[in-house]
Formats: sequence, C-alpha cells, structure tokens
Amino acid sequence: MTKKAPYIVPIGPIHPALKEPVHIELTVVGEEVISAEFTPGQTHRGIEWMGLSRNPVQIIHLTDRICGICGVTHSLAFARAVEQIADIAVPERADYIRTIIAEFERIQSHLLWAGVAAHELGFDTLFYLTWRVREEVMDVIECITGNRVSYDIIQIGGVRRDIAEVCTEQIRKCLDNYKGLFGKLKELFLEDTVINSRCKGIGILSFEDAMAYSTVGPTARASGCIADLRVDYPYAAYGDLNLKPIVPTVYGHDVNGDTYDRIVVRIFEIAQSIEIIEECLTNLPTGPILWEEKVAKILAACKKTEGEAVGRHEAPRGECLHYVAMDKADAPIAWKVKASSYSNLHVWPLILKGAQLADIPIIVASIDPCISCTDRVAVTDVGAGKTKIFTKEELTKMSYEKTRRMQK
Amino acid sequence: MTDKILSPESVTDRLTTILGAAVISSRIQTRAEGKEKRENTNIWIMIQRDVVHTAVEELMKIWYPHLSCIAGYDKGETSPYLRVQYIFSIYGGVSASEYMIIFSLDVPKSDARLPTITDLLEGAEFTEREKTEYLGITIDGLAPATHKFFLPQDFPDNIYPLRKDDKKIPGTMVKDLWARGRPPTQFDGSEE
Amino acid sequence: MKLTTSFNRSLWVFHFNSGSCNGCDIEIVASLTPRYDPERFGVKLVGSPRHADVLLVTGPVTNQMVDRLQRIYAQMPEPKIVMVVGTCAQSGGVFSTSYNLAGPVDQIISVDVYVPGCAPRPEAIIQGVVTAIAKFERLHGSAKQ
Repeated sequence: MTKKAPYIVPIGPIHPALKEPVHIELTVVGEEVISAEFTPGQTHRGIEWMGLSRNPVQIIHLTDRICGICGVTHSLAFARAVEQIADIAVPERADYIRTIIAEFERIQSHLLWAGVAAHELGFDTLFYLTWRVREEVMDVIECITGNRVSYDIIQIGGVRRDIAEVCTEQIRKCLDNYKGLFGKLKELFLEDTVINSRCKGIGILSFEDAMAYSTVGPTARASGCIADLRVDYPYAAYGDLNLKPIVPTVYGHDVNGDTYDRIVVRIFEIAQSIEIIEECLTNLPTGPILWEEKVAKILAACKKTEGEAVGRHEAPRGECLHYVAMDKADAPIAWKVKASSYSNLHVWPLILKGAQLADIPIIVASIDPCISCTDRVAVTDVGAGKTKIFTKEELTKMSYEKTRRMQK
Repeated sequence: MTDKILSPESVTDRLTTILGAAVISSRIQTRAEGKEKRENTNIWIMIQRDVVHTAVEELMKIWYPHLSCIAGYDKGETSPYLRVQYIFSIYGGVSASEYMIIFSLDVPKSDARLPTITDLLEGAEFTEREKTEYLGITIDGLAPATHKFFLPQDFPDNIYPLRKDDKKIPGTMVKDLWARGRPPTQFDGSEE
Repeated sequence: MKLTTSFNRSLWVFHFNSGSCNGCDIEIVASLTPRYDPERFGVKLVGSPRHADVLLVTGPVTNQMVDRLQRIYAQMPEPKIVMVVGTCAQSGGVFSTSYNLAGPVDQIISVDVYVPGCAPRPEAIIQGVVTAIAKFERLHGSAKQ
C-alpha cells in the first residue's frame, strides 16, 4: 500500500502588511513537514514605483503606510537617506524624539507579537492580557504623535511634533507601570509549562544559517548573531547610549535558535526599550526639532542635490534599509525599500522543515511576519487526487488541540 | 578572515588593490548623529560588472558579511545602462564599528546579466530573484524560477516595474482610484 | 437606538484584507480587546464568510483580490452589510496611483458603511458597526411591513 504519498499544503495566499506578502507551500508526510517553499507578492502595490513620481516629503507619508505596525521605521530610514544626500543636519532634540518614538514602537510591536504568539498557541487569555497592556503604550504614542498607527511624525530634517510637558508625565507613568508588569510578563511567557514544551526545540534556525541567510533583528539574535544596528552602527540618539544587544543568554541559558529563544529576545527587548526611553527622556536636549520648518524650503534643498545614500534603522523586526538616489529633480531617481521581514521570510523553508503541522502557526509567527498569512490552507492528497481545504481556523484549532494534549 | 578590525581606509585600499583596474571609483561617507556625534561609515565602491563575484569573495575574506539586499534602478529612458548596488555590511556585532560596503555597477540593458553569488551567500537568492522580476536582469547560475516571488503571478511578461524605457509600466495599467470613485460626502445620520 | 429582534442574533463580522498596510487590521483587532470589548454585545470576528452578517473590508483591492472579494461577498447569507475601514479602501489613499489596484471597494461590491481614517481609531470602527446595526434594523423594519 502506498497511501503515504506526500501531501502538498499551500498556506496563504497573503498577508499584505509587509511589502512582501507570502504564500507557503508545504510538502507533508503525515504530520511532518518535509519541505517548504514560499511565494510572496500577491498584494503587490508597487510602492517603490509610485515613489519615483513623488517628492521626498510626499514619500515620507507613503513610507508611513508601507507597514501599519512599523509606523516610524520606514519613514525614519527614508528620511535618514535623504538627509545624507542633501546634507541636512538633524537637530539633537529631533534625534532624541526619533529614538523615543522608535522605542515605543518596539514596545507596542513586541507586545502585539507576544499576544499573537499566545493566540497561536491557544492561550487566548494571555493574548487578551497582552493586548490590554498594549493599549497603554498606544495611548502614549497617540499623545506624542496624534495617531495610534501611521504616526507621520518624521519629517525630512527632524520631527513634526515636539514632546509636550503633558506627554512627559504620561510617558513616565506608562514606563513605571510597565516596569512593574515586566516580571509578570516574563513569568507568563517564559515559565509557563505549555509555552515551554510547545516552543523549545521547534523551528530551529542554526547560527550558520542565520548568517548565510543574512537574517536580521530578534530572529537573528535568537540564533546567536549579536547584530543590532542600534549598537553596531550608531544613528539618531543610539550612539549616546550604552547598549548591549539582547541574545537568549540574558535569560541564563544556551542559545538554541528555537522559537522559545525568539520569545526570550523579544520579551527582554521590551525591558531594554523602557530603559532607553527613560535615558533619552532624562537627557532630552532643548532646541529646535526641525532643520527647516517650511516644507517648500525642505523641498528646494532636496531638489538641488544629487547623490545616493542608504538609511538604516533597527526596526522591531530587524534592519530596515532604504536606498535613495537623487538627481536634481523633485522625485528621486531610485528608491529601494528593504523591509525587515524581507531578510527573515526566506528562512521559513529551513525552520519549517521537520516541523509538525500543528506547530506551523507558532513557527511561522515566531519570526514575526504579519500573522494572518495562514488565511487559507489546502491539503492535497497527491495519491488520491483529493483536496481538503483547511482554513486558518482549523489549523489554529489543531494547534490548540496539541496544547490541550500536552496539558493532560 | 582576519580578526582585526580594519579601518575604513584600509578596507577600501585592500579591495581596490585586489580588484585593480576594475575599480572605477571609491569614496568613504560618514554621518554623525546624536549628542556625541559618533560616526557611522559607508564605503561606496564603483566596480566593473565582471568582477562582482570576485569582489564579494574578497569581502568575505575580510569578514563574513551581512547582505542587506541588492538594489537597482534604471538610469533613465535614454540611458543604455541599469545601475545595481550590492549592499553589504561588515563587522556586525562589534559595537559601533559596523561599515556598510556598497558595490555599484552598471549593467547594459542590451545584455542584462549578472552572476549569482548564492554559491558564497545562500541567502542572496531571494534578492537576486527580485532583480529579475523588477528590472529584467538574468541571473546566471540560478535555476529558472518556477513562479514569481515578488510580483503577482499573473503580472504580464516583459514588463518590469522599475524600468523607465519601453519595458516600463504602461499608463493603461494605472487606474487612478481617487478619480474613479469616492464615497458620498453626505452622511445621512441614520444611526440616531 | 433601541434593541430590536434583529439584535437577537448578534453581529458577526468577517474581516477581509484586500491589500492594506495592516494599520487598519491591527486597529480592528485592537477594538476587540478588553478595553473596548464589543464581544460583550456578541460582536465578534468569525473565520468564515458563511457565518458572517458584516463584511469588513480594508485595503485598496489589488488586481488579484477582486475575484476573491466578489466570491467572499457571494458566500455571505442575506441580509448582509459591507463596511469598509480606512481611507485607502474608499479612495485609494496614498496608493491611489498604483499600477496593481482595481479598487476602491465600492467599485467592486456595494458598500453600506464607510469608516474613514488612516487608520481609524477603534472607537470609529465600533461606531461603524453600530451604524451597521441601525441599517439592519431598517432592513428588518421594511421586511415586516
């Protein structure tokens, strides 16, 4: 009997949050994944192409909307590239405000991720808890920037809004609150038996692969690559701080590069971000927040220049890079966006190999792409030619059932 | 690989000496931000297309590099060249000493080909495929793609989004959504 | 607004992302979490359009999503309400000049409730759902007569 034909499981089609939406195709035997292939690109909007007919200030608003979670990441990287070309000096206060808002973004993004990871494991109580806690940082972000997502706070040459006195108070209150919560968060995520047994030793990305695939951010650090742009390549206010990259050893165990390590890195980065914001707030310099207030003058300065530059920023998910080339015109002649997940998605085939079907949601989620990737899953029985459609719900249900089995 | 951290100048010298006449130009760009104005360094090296594989090989002898991505653009409607940048960084993980090393090269549109560097860095495949789809550059040594990675699967052949010449996006593909229709401006207030 | 029999069966919402930047999608999930908690009224996200009363669409609709959007709409039982969330679903927003878009949503399926904003706050999204309830009541009322 040759009933054990390999099954093809397409997961997807898309999640458009990233610039590179993804569709994964898994070949499975029984419950085990033997190979995985993926296809991004179904909700391609041609953002780079649109940018080539807009001026830098217009592009700033476009960059804010490349990804709804990274509201400041892309605009910061793009602004830094343009500032280097046009030789615009950013005021110190603006550098600090940029750092503060970028770190708040990291907190909200990591909390969002932690909640989603808990949801994928079938731990919905924890999902709701982390999202309730997350609302507090959203309030602070709203207080500083005026919007909850897509902040639009970055401008070429600085930031568009100052941190008002009333915000400072709210920020301190929020940070104190988080410091109190951190112990609990650590306990819930890192000491829980089920999370331990579901995440340890699965979705392993070796150090060698992490290097060869040029992975970035928490995904790389969880595999032991101590790369963090904030430390290695000082920009904005990060050069003034004494930072150390977070690797899984902070929690006092070896680097395994598994899903659990990725949780460790992200949870501890929340604590690191709190410290960074406090330090920046204490040392916040006074002075202007913009190189030039009049947009027309910024545009004139951009129009006069020529040259090329790269702007980088360590986003919550890792390195974000924008390459811009200008040639004495309103619009740039080249604009390349390298989002953080661009460097991380292509390790999916490696980390999914050998995994169990029920572990797919958490492994896919562990590199922090946008989660609803697993929209629709179809299992094709190659031998019998039958197709069974799995929805994301069913896949998540399988994941839940596995959790239940382990609890027994 | 050497363990010693080389200065940006010596990295540039080393690469220009090895690559010889294939180096067209090089420059070191620094940028300082924040209160303490600690500098970060970008090294730009313009090379001939033929030596790109050697250049990456030599770079790997200095330090295991991080490939951010390969960027590229069309130099203009009338220009016969595409410009491609290989964006690397080295000394990642060493506090405040990471440099970016960017190899730029011109690729003629009439012979748009580049060698693959996946034999050196496996992860380069993803970004190399992107160049094929966005700019129409054939990557030698890479198996033909079974499907598109970045563009929609039903995207027309022989149109490359980032090209500015006759292979560019035709105007007919652009539907101006703002002009096509917008919601009614009057709110009927029926929720009361 | 008073509760009528149409509220016997609470509104179930199916969320369809047609190519948005994810900002709206996050706010939709945020509006379901404990601070706002519409689930106490039975408003919740469901995984299948066949269970849903409201189709919530975000994003400017890429060419690939047109067919999927129409199919999902057809799968929903009557009476149904379509609610679009976010500026780009209504006019393309910053993406309006892209080459791969077929939207906005109301050019493809008929839309009942618009929630503008980039991205709209959770309160605005909940307000949109309340507007949808009002519309259901009107539909219900006219069906009775």
